[in-house]
Parts: sequence; structure tokens; C-alpha cells
Amino acid sequence: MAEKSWHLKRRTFIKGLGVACALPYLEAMAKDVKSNPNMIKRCVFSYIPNGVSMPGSKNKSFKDWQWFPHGEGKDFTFTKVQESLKPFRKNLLYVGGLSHPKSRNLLGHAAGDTWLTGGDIGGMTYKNSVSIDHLAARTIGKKTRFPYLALSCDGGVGYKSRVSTCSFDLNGRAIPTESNPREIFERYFSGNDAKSKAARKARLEQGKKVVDLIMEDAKSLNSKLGKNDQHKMDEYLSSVSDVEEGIKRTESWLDVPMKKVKIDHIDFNAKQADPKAYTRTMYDLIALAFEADITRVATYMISREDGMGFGDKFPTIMFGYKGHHGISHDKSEGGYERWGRYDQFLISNFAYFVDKLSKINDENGPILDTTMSMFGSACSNTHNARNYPIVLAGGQKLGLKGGQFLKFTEKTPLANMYTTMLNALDVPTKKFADNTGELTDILV
Amino acid sequence: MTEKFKNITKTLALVGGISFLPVVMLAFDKSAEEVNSRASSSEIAVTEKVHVSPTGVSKYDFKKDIMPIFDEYCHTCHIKKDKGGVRITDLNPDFVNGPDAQKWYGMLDVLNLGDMPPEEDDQPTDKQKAILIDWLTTELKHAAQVKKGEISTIIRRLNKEQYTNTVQELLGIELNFGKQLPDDGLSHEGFQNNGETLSMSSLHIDYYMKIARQALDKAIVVGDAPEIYRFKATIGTDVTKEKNTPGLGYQSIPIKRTDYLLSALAPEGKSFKAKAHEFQTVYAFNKNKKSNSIYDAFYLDMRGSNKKRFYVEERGMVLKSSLPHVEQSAQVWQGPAPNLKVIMRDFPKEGDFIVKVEASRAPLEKVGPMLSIVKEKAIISYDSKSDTVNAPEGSIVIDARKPIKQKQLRKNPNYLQTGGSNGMAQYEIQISESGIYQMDAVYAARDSRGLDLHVNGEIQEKVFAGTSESWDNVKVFPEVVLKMTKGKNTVKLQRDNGAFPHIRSLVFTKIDDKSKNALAFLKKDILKPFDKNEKVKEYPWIRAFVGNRLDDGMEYATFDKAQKVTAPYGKSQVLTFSGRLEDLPLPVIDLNDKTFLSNMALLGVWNDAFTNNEKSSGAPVLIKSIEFEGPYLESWPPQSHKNIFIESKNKDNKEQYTREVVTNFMRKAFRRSPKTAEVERLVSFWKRNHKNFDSYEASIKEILLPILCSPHFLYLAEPSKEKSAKLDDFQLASRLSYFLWNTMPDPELLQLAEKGQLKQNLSAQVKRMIQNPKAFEFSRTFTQQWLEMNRLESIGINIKMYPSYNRFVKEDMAKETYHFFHEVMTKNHSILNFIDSDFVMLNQNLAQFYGIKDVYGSEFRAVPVSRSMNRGGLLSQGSFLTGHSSGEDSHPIKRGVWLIEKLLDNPPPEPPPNVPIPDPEDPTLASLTKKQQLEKHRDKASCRNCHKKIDPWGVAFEQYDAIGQFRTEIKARQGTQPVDSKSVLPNGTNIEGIDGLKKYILEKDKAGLNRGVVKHLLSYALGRSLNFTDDEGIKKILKKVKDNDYRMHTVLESIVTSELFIQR
Repeated sequence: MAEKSWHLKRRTFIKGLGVACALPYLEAMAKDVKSNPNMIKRCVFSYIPNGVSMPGSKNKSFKDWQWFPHGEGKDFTFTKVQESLKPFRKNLLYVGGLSHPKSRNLLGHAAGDTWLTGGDIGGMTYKNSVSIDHLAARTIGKKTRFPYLALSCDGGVGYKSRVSTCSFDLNGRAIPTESNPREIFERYFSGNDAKSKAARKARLEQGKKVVDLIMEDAKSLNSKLGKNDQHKMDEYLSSVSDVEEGIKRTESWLDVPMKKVKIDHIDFNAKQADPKAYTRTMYDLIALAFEADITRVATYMISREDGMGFGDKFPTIMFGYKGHHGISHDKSEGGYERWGRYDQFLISNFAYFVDKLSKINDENGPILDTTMSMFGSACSNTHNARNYPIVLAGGQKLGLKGGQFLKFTEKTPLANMYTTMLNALDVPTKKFADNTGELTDILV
Repeated sequence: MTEKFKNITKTLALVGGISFLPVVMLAFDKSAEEVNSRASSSEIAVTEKVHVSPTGVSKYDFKKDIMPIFDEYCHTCHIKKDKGGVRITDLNPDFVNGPDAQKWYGMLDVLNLGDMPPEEDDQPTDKQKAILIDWLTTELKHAAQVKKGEISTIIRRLNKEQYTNTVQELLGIELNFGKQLPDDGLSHEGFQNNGETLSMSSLHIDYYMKIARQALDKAIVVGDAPEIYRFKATIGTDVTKEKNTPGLGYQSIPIKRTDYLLSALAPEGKSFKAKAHEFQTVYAFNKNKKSNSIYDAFYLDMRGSNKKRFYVEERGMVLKSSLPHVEQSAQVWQGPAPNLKVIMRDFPKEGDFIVKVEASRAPLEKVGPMLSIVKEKAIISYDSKSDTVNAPEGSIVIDARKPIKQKQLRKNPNYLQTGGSNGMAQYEIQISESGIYQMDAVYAARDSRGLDLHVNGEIQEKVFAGTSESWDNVKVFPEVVLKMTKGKNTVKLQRDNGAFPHIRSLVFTKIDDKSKNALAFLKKDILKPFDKNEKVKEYPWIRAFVGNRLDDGMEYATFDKAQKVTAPYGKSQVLTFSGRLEDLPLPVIDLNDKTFLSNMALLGVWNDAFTNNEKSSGAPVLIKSIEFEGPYLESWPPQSHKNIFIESKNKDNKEQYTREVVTNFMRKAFRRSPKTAEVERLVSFWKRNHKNFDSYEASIKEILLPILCSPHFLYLAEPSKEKSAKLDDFQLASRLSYFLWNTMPDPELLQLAEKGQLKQNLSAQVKRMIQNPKAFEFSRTFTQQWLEMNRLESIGINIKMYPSYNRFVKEDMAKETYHFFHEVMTKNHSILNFIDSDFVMLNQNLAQFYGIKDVYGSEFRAVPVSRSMNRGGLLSQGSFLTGHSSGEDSHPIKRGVWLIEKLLDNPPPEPPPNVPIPDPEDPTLASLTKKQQLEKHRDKASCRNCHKKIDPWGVAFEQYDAIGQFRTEIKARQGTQPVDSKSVLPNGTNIEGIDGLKKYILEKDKAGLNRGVVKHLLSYALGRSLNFTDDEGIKKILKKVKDNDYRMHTVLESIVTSELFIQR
């Protein structure tokens, strides 16, 4: 009896015969996305901890102090929480019902770690994964001086399960945030002083030399390879030259002068002790970064989960309430109203930012239309990591719907929406975290 | 382009039922390239409907003799349509110049097996069939000859594991260097070392450069040795007087601060100048505190531990056997409980470290420092008339009626009286001399359940148990003998739900160490509870871990192996665990975060002799002390540095020395003798640039870096433009080494290669290599990929249905399979053992899970089994059965496919896209047994052809549930059903259950098993998929294996010495 065949992949076989054939698959896919090569696309994510006020419909605070608007689709009415966003109604997309399936059973605070990642941090090992902002930065960040801004009220990364950052790299490692407005300004906007420029240049030069050595070595091997091996070697060589390109790109920014922007209105001395001034300054810095086009991706953790960090004291400073975490557990009379009033404050700062974006123009008009601004939390009510409060502002020229409140069920993982957002930002993505596809309902 | 892509996808999706067996696999691969390559072939098909006659060698003419037969029998499905992705008119009948020989090869198979045409359709006559087979065979043989060598192994990038192993071996640093690299793709056979699927990207290069820099920074040192962190925590009741506020936090279970002593130690016995690290004692959160001490840098905690499973005694802390965790989905957890943790705020961030644990076995039950005595006489007397206690001088007489604290007691002139069912009385006594004391009591009424006597906060002994009497009958009684320490002692009497005895006085009198009571006490303390423990064969084991605190649990990873504790109670032994800090989940240090819960590393141990019985103590272990030293340096500079900066007489001639350093390093990295030009390129670079660096060492780093990013290092390359078809000895050494060790060749292999003596010594080298510990890496990697162990990794078991299944069982299931393969290989057993064996590889945890008794300890060893235990071979291993289940029940289809694909070389085609999967919620299915459901599923025409070849194999495994436990009945939604594992195999043989299946394979299909094992090993060894040109070579290997009783050594030796292996 003959042996059963040992199946070769068809492609392998074809290659074996030297009939190489490879369609540029990714490029083909990329062309499918509506794209205007001249349009600068941006995204920004701002995070609030501890969930939001969501009293049940029987609670007397339901009408005014519910975070989500009432109604659905185009027919929705703002609650008091959201009223400062009213002028931007046509730019707003409220999204209800979504969450990350892998975080639903976590204690709500820990879900904050996965807000932008959808990672799996339950279990023995903490396995977080890349965040949407970082993925976006890896692609659209190549076009700017800095790939991204990662900001927070507390700086650093915090500790796992109570991070003080929303951004995670390809290995799921937390990306440190910055919190001091003046330092942020100096680092990102002050241009290049001669000394640091020389040092950076020397480092890049060193990198280039190493790449040159690798290239030479590779070429000596390449000349000895048969045609079967050649395409593997081509893969290697083009990877090395990509890295070389990256070094050159970084180097080229060293000589590009900073775009001039107006900064008189920014209060660089704002401190966390003044929550309103501080939060708005941080938003000012993001808007400024977009205006000068030093980056197109920004993430800002407004405060940290649980009763930690400066942000927990904001409600006390502003209203004389308990800490933010305390508010979120307050089930006493008027508790939801207090929570709602604090939410209202948080939204008003966001509205301040949205207003900023609507007044900054680039060649495609107000940058609000070309910027996706997501605002939200990884909990709805107290410690409940489901039905995340989410509002997307702007991005209508990227295809986002406006003036709507869309509701979904738990069958749709939040990662589906992230996938659609990435594609709309020209970051071709099929798989993100635990997505099961896309959520094109958010697009027009 | 995009439109076209969509159309192709659509076409593929529309292709319906599968009929053309093996060929289908080719067409339905899911990769994008696959789709594209199909696209181009469809394109050809459109333009050239029927191919021109080939320049074949067969006496038959394709157009005249062959095509008419296909037209007659295959037209409907494979000419008019392209069912299963096969349209005969699309295939190029020129086997040599066309691309379709492999598909024709598949067709030969289905014809030979009679799989096509389907049995219900018209069949070709024997003569027609003979013509087809003759044509196919002749053409294939010819093509194979012409193409031999053309389809050779291509250059293979080191995969993630190979890269890591190689860098480790090259530098002599045990660190998971490759963990940041992206995961590698799987080949069609499931292997991760296939040159085709191992792609390269700029992300890889970025990482290779980054990792190489970090690795060289670690290997090469400049200046003095770093500070050494060394400290010790010694545990025992009242080992110190020092009291500090424990650093608490959510769920914290602190240990009393007087029960452990922390000390910073200086490095000892170092041959170099070693500086001790001075521990930080002042922290932002305690800056207002006056007495900062080392207790602020460290403390002990039992977070997550059940308080009943540990206690502190004089000699240390006793940890009973840990209870493995009951799994819950997506929740952080606290590790096996109990576990003892040193919380470290000041710790090194990198380098090797060691942990020394001083430990012994411990009694099964807690030995209290008391002994209930009933036979001896009281030392004191009591005169009720005068209400006087007469005690010897020095006795401490406590008036029981005057407690310093009390609850639920009433005042009575004579004694304490019940005032509620949970009475409590507390006293303070001042002991002036430590020693053994007798406690006598003046009392009347007792109670059958007695009181708990607590001394210094611990439940120590039941006292005052007995029958109730009236106060008229007041008496004195010797209650207990106990050890008391100098100073203030708190004595508490606690009643739990009942009446309080009538107590007048408690008297503590120191007794002579040689007295009967004292001797009895001492004997009890050391021997009595331990007698019981001596009889069992179970020893405690210690497992060490490092982690960081999460708010509702911890993240941790174990390091080193679990170690057995054999020292008897009362003596102790020191166990040393070593690890590498960078590989363990230390906290991410955030200096902004100044709260007392951040930036804390955990160093912990647990008792690894797991028990599932909450009531059992298991095998308790006593932990006397834990000592940490890191970075742990044996010499300075370290060996990794000396491996690079070799001894040489030319050390002062920097240029010449550089040349030697580069040559030495490159020889190892490139796994061959470096060429002069390769070395000189780097030396001349060094000459031009070395002045830019602060030190000679740094300038060397810069030229070693490109070596670690060179394709000569990163790829296994066997350039085909070289003269001989045979590999040279260096290439062969690498091929062999990555096959059997998954890492670079060792000095012996390289020396043989250098002398050109490897080829003639292959057999001897194989024997040597598989006995080397590094060969376990091969057993693990190969088995994991061959047997789809990733399925076990990713399966989600319904824990509500299977509470006994947990991560430790899962981990041990995988280890069982690795160890089993390794045992078969190292002991040169026959590969028939893969089907059935009279031994299994078990440790205590897995044996408990399988219900096999008397296996103790964490290590895996061969355990003989009898048939009635229903274990043996790969077929009854938890790893396979669990990985191939649905998570709630068995999954006969997955199990069937696994068996015929992985072991019997009879692979079914891949399922068509959009295959209708039976909906578990479907009410019409709910009432059916699994077997009936399968039958119903098979009823659909689109499924039948394949599933009748799959399901019958899978049904034989029905005796095992979703977690691989043997069962005789199935618990289903609609109640229990008996197991039905009777099955009719595709060839009509009736079998029943696992025994029937094993018997069938061992009697009737040894050839299939031989093929399954050999072909998978060969494909792995070569790093490529096999194809029809390999046929002859494979047959030679199969014959040798069969002729040598299917011995594993023969399998490996005949693969390694085959032409396929020693040629490109």
C-alpha cells in the first residue's frame, strides 16, 4: 500500500520550484480603507476611574444625574452630567453596553489596566497586551516628531492592577506617563538645544554604524545562497533597511525647526491641588501638541483607580465631598447626585478640550473633525466592569457618526470598536485583543 | 486588487462539501499567502483550460489515455466544479515543470485507498484504475528523481526558543532573552521550526539589536562588583523583642513582629571585594516615624493563607500542605495557600540570586507547649473553710475571680460564674524564670467540652473538661504542664457556646526538668505527634516564587525546582534555590508612587506537597529561616565576562587581542570557523572607532553586537551554492544540535566538525546527545508541537463541573507527556509505548488526580500501572484528553482527528470553511447521547464523507471525560447515561473503548504508527514540510525502525544518518 502523502502547503511547493508569487496582501487591504493621504488623523483617549453615576431608573437622581443621556439613536436628551457638551451634539457619539469580556469578572478597579488593551490580566500571570493608542502610535506616530504623548495626573506607571497609565506596549508592558505640565512642555516643545542634540546625534550615528556592519555581513551570505533561500534573505535585508530608515527618520527631526504656536494662555504652573486648572492645562498641552503636529496620538489618565493618587481628592477640593472612590461607594441619600455632580465637572473639562479642538484648524478644517476623542471609564457603576461609559467626540471626517447614542449588548466585545477605530485611523487592523470582528455601526 | 481578493475569498467560501481527501488540505490553508497563491493558479486556469500534453515518461498519454477516465468518473465534481478545491483540468500534468506534482501525489493516495470516487458513485474498472495508478506512479517517480535536491530545506531563522537557548549558551547567562520577541508561526504540521513559516520583520531586527545590547551589557562588566543584597529572616515564637508596626494593606495577614527576626548580612566567602548593600529604612510613607529599621525594608506576610494551615512555634513556622486553588475564571488569586512571603521594598532589580531556606519536617498536628495531665497529683492544696490556696514558694497564684478582662461572666463570691454561653476571662502573669511549669487549678464544676486555654494569644489546650459537679465538691487538679517564658504572659480562658466551669484559682509552679511531668512533656513535644508522621511516605516539598502585589492577589512565578525536605523535626537542612531576577515578575518600579503598597516585591515559599483535602495536614514543613542573596556572584568578573575576554598572552597588544576575542566569539556564534574577512571587518571597525568609547570593554561590545544580529547567527543557513549536496560538518553539527537539543552545538560537536569527523560518528553522537540533560528540551519542544499541547494550554474547562481541575493539574498533565516521551527516548523503549505502556510518568499531584495511590513528591517518575488503572501510552494522558475536549465534555471529533493525524499518519482533510457546527443549545440535540449527536451530524451529506473516517476513532475515547478522568457513566444535562464507547472503524472492525482501540492499533496498524512518529520527527529534524520526493528516504527509515523492534534509538539514529538529514 502506498504511503499517505505528506502534504506540502501549496505555496511551499510553488516556491520550491522557484515560481515565487506573493501578492502584497497588506497593501491591497490598506487600499480598501477610505483614505485621503493629505488628511492628518489623530486620536486622544482620556480616562476617569471608579465608574460613573448610573442610578437605576427608579432612583430620583436618574433623570438628572445619570451619566449616559436618556433615549437612544438620534433621539437622546442630555442629562445634567453631560450638559456642557451640548454645543457639540453633532460631534458626539455615545456608546453604551460595551466592555472587555476578559475583564468583566475582575474587581472593577483592576479593569482600568485593560481599558485600552482588552488584555487578560486575571490568573497567575498578568498578561496585559498592547493598547489601542500604542498601536495607533506605531503607525501614525511615524509621521511626527514624537509617536505619542502619555499623560496622567500621577505620572509613572503605578503598579499592576492599579496602573497610572492607560498605554501598554507590544509586550503588554506599561508605558510611563508624565504629569508635570512644565516638564512636559519643555521636553516636547522646547526644540533641540545644541548639547542634547549632539548627544542624540552621536547615539543615532552609533546605531547606523552597527546596522551598516550587519548589512555588510548579510550581503556576504546572500551571495552564497541559492534561489530557494533568496526570498528569506530578502525578507531579512528589507527588515534591516527598515530599521535603518527608522534611525534616519529620527535623525532628520533633529534639524527640523519647531512650528511656532501661541502659548500665552497656558498655565504651566497648574498643580493637581487645583483640579480644574490642572486638568485643563493637560488638555491644553494635548491640543497644543496637535496644533504643532508634534504628535497625533495622546492618552491622558485623568486620575487613578481606587482611592489612589491625587485624583481621588479632586471631589473634596472641588465640592467638599468624600474622595472619588468614596463617592463611588456612597449609597446614601443624595449619593448619586453627588457622584453625578462630580461627573459633570469631569465632563466640563472634556468639553473644554472639545471646544479647543473645534477652534484649531489645519488644512482640512477644524481638527475636531479629524480627531477621535474618546472619554470614559472601565466601570459603569461601582466596581462593575461592564457597560463602560464611553463618549467619542469628533472624528466625523474619519467616518465616525455624530449626534447619536448607540447601545450594544455584551455579545460585542469593546475590542471590536477599537478595531474599527484603528482602521478609521489608517492603521489596518483585523485582530485586536479579543475582537470578533469590527463594529462598523459607529461609522456613517 | 482588493476586489479580486474579495472574489477569491468568496469563491473559497462557496466551495462546499469535501470529497477529494488529502488534496483539500492544500487548498484550504488559511494563510493569506495561500489564498494568493491560489489566486494566481486560478488565473492560469482561466487562460489555459486544459493543459498541453506533458513531456512525460509514462507509456500512457495524458490526453488520450488518462483524461477520458477522469471525464467519465470525476466530471460532476472535479471538472465541472472544483469540489474540495480540486478541478482536474486546473492541474498541470507536467510533473516536472508544472507546479502540481504534490497534488497528483495526493490523488494517487485517494485512488489507492479507494476513497475516490465515493462508494455510492460509479467506480472505474480495475483496468482503468490500474492505468491511472501506473501513470501517476511512473510520473511521480520520475519527477522525484529530477527534483531531488531542488526542494531542499531553506534557511531557517532561529525561533524564539532556539534564539533564547542559543544566547544563553553563548554568553553563559540563564535569562529568557527572547521573551519579548513576537511568537513564531506554526507550520502545517504544527512545528515552529519550519523555515517557510519563520518570517522576519523590522520589529524582529529592532528587538535583536535591543536584546543583543542588553545581553552584552549583562555579560561584560566594567569596574567593581555591584553591591550585594543579603538578608535573613529567622522565624520562631518571640525570637525578638523588636516591635514595629506591620505594613498592612487589603487582605494582609501579618505575622507577629516579635515572631521573626530580620537581619542584614554582609557577603561571605567571596574571592573578590564584595560590598554589602545598605538597606533603605526610610520611606516616604514612614518619614515621620522615629525608629526606622530594616523592618521597613522587609516584613513577613501570609496574605491569602488560611489561618488554620500555618502557625508559628519556637522552631519556626509550620506550613501544612498547600491546598491548590479552585480555579475561578478571570480572577486574580493569592497562590497556593498557605504561602509565606517576604515583602521586600529594597531589592536588587537584576542578576542571579539565591534563596536559602532552612527547613525540616514538622508534626502532623500542632504541638502545643502544654501537656494535659490527669494522673499526677496537684502540687498545691486548697482549704475551702479559710478559702486559702497553699502553694510552694515561687508559685504564681492567680485569683480566678479577678480577671483583667472578662466577657459574659457574673460575679460570684467563690468562683467565676457563667453569664452567657461565650464566657471569657483573661489574666496577666509575670514569670521570672523561663522553664517548664505545671498549672494547677482550684475549681468545681467542669464541662464535657472544657475551655480553651490560650497563652499569649494562641489556642493551646483544652482544659477543665469533665463532668459537672457542685461547688460543695471543690477540689484541686493538675490541669496542664507547659513551657513559659520569662516576662509578662497573657492567659485567657475561652468558652465556646456552653457553661463556664466554676474556677477559683490558677497556680503556676515551675517544675524540675527531670520530673515525671516535665519528661512526659518533653517527650510529647518532640516525639509523639511525629510518630504518626514517620509512618507515612509523604515528605514535604518546598517551592519558591517571586512576584509582586496586586490589589486583590498577587502575580508570581516560581523559580528553580521544588525541593524535598527530609530533615526530621528538631533537626534541619538548608535548601538552596536559585533564579534570575529579570525573568521573574518583579514590580515595575515607579518612584512617583509613594504609597506603602507600591514597589513591593514578594519572595515566597509554599509547601508543594499539595493536598486536596482541607481537613488533612498533608506533610507539614517547618520553615526556620529564609535567606536572600542577590546579585549572587561566584566570581568577579563573572564567568560570562571571562568567556568573552579570554586568557591570552596577547592581552596587551590590543589589536591582536581584539582579533582573538572576535574570533573566539564568532566561532561560537556562527557555529563554525569564522572566515578571515569576517573577523577583519570587525577588527578594522574597532581600529577606527575604539577611541570613541570610555573603556576597552565598551568598544568590544560594539563589535560583538553586529555578530548577534548577523544572519550567520540568526539563521541556520546551508548555502546551496556550495559544491557538495552534502552538508559540511559544521552545518551538520548545527542541524543535529538544534534537532536534539534545540540549541547551538557544544564544544565536542564543533571539535568533531572541525576535524571533519562528525559524519562518521553520527550514531555515537546521537546516543551521547539524548542522554545529555539538554535533550529534555527536545522532548519538551517536539512533544509540545507534535501533540498539539497548545490546545491544553488554551482549553477553558468548566470549573463548576470539574472542581478538581486546576492550573497545577494542567501544568502536570503537560509535564507528564514531556516526561513520557523523554523516558521512551532515553530508555530506548519501543515507540509502541506511545499507544500503550505498562508504566506512566507521574508525580504526586497528578497521581492523586488520576486516583493512583502511593505516589509521593513533586518529581515525575515511572510508575508501573496495570490495565485496571486505565492509563498507559499517550492515548490515556490527561494532556491530550483534556486539550481535545469541549471544556464540558469529551469531544470525539477532536480526539479522533488528533489520533489519526498525529499518531496514525492518516490525516483527514481540513474542515471546509463555514462548517456548520452543531449548536449545543439546539433542543433537538439535547436529548441525544454524544454518539447519537455525532451520527446525526454525520447524516448531513456535506459532513458524512469525512466524518465517517474520524468519528469512530474518537468514540473509543468516550470512557474519558472532559478532564481525562475515567468514567463509566456520563453526566449530561438530561441525567446520567452509560458510556457508549463501541465503535465500528472505517474498515469495518468492531472495537470497544480504549482497550479495544489500543489492541487494534498494536495488532493491525503498527505501520501507521511508525509513519506517524517517523514523519513528524523527520519534518521537525529537517525544519521543513515533507513532500513526495522524500518518499524513498522515508521508506528506508521506516524499514530500519520496523526491523529493530520499533526502538526509539533506531528511529533517531536512522533519521540522523539518512540522506535526507545529511544533505541540504
